[in-house]
Amino acid sequence: MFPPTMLRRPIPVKPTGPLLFWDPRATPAALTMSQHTAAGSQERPVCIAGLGVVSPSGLSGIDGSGALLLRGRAGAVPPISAEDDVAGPRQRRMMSRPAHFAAIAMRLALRAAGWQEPWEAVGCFMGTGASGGSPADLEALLLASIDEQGLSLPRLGSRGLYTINPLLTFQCLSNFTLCHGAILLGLGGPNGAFFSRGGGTVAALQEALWAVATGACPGALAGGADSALHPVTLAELRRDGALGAGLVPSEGAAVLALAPAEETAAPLAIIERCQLHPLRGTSLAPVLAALLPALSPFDAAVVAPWGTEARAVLAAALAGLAPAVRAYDLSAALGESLAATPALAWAAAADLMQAEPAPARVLVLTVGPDGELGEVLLRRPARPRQGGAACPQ
Amino acid sequence: MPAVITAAGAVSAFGVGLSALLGGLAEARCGIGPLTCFDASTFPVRVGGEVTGLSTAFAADRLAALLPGQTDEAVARLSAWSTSGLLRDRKVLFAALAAVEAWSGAGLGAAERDAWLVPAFGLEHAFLEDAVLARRVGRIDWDAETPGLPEVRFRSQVDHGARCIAELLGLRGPIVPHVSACAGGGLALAHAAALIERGAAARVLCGAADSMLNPLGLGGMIRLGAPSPRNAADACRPFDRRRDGLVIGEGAAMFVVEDEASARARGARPLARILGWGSTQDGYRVTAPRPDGVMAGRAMSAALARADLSPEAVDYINAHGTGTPLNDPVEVRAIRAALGTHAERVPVSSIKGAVGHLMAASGAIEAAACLLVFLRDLVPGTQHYREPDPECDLPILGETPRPGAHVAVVLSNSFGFGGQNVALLLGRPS
Repeated sequence: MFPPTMLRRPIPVKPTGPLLFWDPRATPAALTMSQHTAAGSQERPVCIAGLGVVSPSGLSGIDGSGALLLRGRAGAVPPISAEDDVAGPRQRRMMSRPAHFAAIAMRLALRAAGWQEPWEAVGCFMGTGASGGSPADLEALLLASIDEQGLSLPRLGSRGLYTINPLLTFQCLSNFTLCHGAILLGLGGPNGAFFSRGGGTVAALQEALWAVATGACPGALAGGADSALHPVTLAELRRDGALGAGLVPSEGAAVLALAPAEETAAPLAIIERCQLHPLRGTSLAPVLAALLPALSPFDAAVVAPWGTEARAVLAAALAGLAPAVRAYDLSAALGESLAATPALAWAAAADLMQAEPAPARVLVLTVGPDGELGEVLLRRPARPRQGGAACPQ
Repeated sequence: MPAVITAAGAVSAFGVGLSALLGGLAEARCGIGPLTCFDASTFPVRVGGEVTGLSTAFAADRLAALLPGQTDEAVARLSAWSTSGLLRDRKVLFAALAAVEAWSGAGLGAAERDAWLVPAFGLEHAFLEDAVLARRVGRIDWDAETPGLPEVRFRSQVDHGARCIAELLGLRGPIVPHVSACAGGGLALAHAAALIERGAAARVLCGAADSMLNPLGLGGMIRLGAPSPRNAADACRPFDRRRDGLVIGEGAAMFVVEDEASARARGARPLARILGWGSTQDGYRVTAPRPDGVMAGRAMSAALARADLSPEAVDYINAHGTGTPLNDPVEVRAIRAALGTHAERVPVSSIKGAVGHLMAASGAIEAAACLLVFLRDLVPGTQHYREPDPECDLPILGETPRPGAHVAVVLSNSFGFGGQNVALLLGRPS
């Protein structure tokens, strides 16, 4: 974890609010087949074949128990055991925390999907955060570069430069959140790394869906990994007023393994829609007012609002639906993990669809600090996996 | 729906504007010189492809000229950014200038503000030295306030440049910033074309901006051993037997990408068609590309397959061509793998000897360079390529640009740190 001396103020990690609404006795709405596929009319439906999650609750797949939503917590991801790790000590020194989480989640997803190695044809599209470098490395550089007047560039060039860990660049480059995992797991397909405070991760899913649906690759990983607990990011969030507006910083990663539905023996869910709605020049309430009726019916929702105001708007919008839907607040459980949050929400929704009775359609709405609304609609596959857990209580 | 580029803007070591870039390449000039943007006197590497002579006042005048009717707004925004310290990150200004040139060049305005914005940016780290200046103590206090110095911020949001562009142009569409290192610019263009092709967007403002010409950016690359140790204008010699490293450049290139039918319907003249693209990952090592070039070759093959073209259709290759001992031969192997025997005939050049390696912006500035072929019927040469290397035995063009009126299809490669590969196929507009 980051050196404790770097974190001068305690970070509130308690949930910011209760779950919106949960009724285990509600009857799921009848399955409706939307004509609106994620990638257009000519492409094949794409399903979630497997997934992997790294969160403050630990590593997990899914089991229909709703653990992410009901027993998840915000904060730091606990130390990874050697058995669960994908990287050796040398590799880990080059990896930021989000890159480490992403690599582990990628492998969990690949294994859960049952895809055999080699994975060279698998695509990978990730939402990533920023500033993954170790503050200690950066501090050493600057400390060696100071004279009586402050920072000395001549001193930096002659002395400070040589305190830089040569591998620092590979921690700081944002694409290495994707690339470290690709290198460790041998992924070679179409790819993209998108900076994300929410929206970029939704874009990653869109591009992954398109790649699979159009046959650019036989399967693809899509997800996000980030840490809002990195001191630089945390300082920025605090200065931008995000913490005061209800953002509970956390960290983690979630990765979905996507494949054509007709080629997957036991799909977790079909991704029916994936859209990105910018909120610049408008506000969340009118966008939801237009969107929710158009997407209905759906019988459950997972929301991940980054702050108090977005939570209130989402709650009001969903409460106004008729018939009422079961709704879950992922951020209230897991906090805000920036680039990872949308993917964690999709994982939570896929988990819900393994419960008994399973909802037929689950809408996932994510509102990140970047001001983009992510909308993903999952539907229960025609031949869902057997053996789901009992409905979460 | 086929995608076309209807306008472009650029900032490079040759100056501000697409015409400056194309002019510099057409005249076979070299933009590499001593660094003046910060005191690099004690750094082992002291040259780069620096954008010189760019002041805030110059930028304000240029923006005002490109945004008629918004002079006061543009000046006010630049002033606010300057006050906040945002412009200390040079790539923010580069991105804004290139974006505004592209947007105004396409004749777009308020009616098109729902356009997507798909830029690629490099690493954000311009403010670290400010932290110490502000604190005046030998300790970093990462989460403390900095009273009295509101311009000092720890900027960890890579997409600040994107937000500035959106604010300047009043864009309301989705913003999707790519962060794929040296492949970012090419992937941003490919993404834009994909959005157009599947009807997800009517038009996209895309491209890339980067500047690693700052203490930590240059320092980090020096510690990796990537730059040439020679502080000379010819420090970067792509494919040359004497090559010994890259030269860091800075700049931006932005494009308006639209579907061809609607572009022509509104009277726009396409500058190039985006025929195809392909992306792969090496999945090999952190510190080196896959030596056999197989996955890079597959990116090129995927681009050809998407465009439904055979290798023989390629008339010119704008190579990644970094000038490092390791990368150039790998790219040659990749080209051979993708193009087969046709690789012996298709001319290849790299502009990195002229403008430097623009890192995240390299794919974008090189796509802009490819417009030299379609706009001026000239194929750019390879600055400082004078001694052929048996390991790079392809038809590498020398320093002098060649006639290119016959060139209909251009292949542009970008290979990023971490092993991300992208190949773009651009076509002469019909």
